[in-house]
Amino acid sequence: MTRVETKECTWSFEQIYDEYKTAIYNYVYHLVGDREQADDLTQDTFLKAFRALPKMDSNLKLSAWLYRIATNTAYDALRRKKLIAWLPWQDLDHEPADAENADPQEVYGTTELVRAALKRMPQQYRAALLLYTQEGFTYSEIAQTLNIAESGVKMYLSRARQSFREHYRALEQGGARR
Amino acid sequence: MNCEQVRDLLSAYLDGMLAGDERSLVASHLVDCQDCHSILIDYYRFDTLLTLMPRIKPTPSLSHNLFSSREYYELLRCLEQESFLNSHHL
Repeated sequence: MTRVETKECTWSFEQIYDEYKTAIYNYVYHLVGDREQADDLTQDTFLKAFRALPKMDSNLKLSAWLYRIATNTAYDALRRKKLIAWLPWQDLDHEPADAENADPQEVYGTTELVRAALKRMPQQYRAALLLYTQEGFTYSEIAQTLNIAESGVKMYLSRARQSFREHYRALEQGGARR
Repeated sequence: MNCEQVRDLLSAYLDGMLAGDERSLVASHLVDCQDCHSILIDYYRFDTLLTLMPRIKPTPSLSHNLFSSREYYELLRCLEQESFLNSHHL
């Protein structure tokens, strides 16, 4: 069995996968908003991580490093998706057409409202907000993961919360385009 | 401090990331400003919603697909070759 040493301990690939699969999968899913794509991107994330483990920055925690790879993998996919979304009216965050005129409270439960609001946020702020709230990362860990300064994390989280609030309330009131 | 300045600091205030002076200024503004106070309450509520979002389990096929993928076998082969070369100092 292949084993790799990190700052914290020695891992097999299977152990790394078992420990982080659910967290990374959910993180990627909320970044891209699509479960099928999240499957593919989670697989890509772990393959890239296994491949690059010998070159891992020894100052980073394994979790921060994995989330960094997951973030970059999801961002690349979102960029590719934007490139192929060539129709001018094609919405990247498309929702089913039958939701068009319905009452948002009936169409969306709270979880769906949260997911929909997340999808409408700028992606870099979305990542910071997810790492802080769902993964319990500190400002310092978010800075390491997103490769930005800690002062930048403060700004990202501030804009993330403003943006999330704006979109959530718009969806709640049915004023947002879906 | 006016509302605009306070709103830029509310997120860091919520996280306890403001220095003493700024923290006091924001706190005293919040006592008198219902609008800014309700934004802070929203931030707290939305953080809670995000924290409590149910986690989705990845499908079991994800593990199978990953560990039986061609890329994974190639990776293991490369690592074995590297290990062989290192152990024989080639």
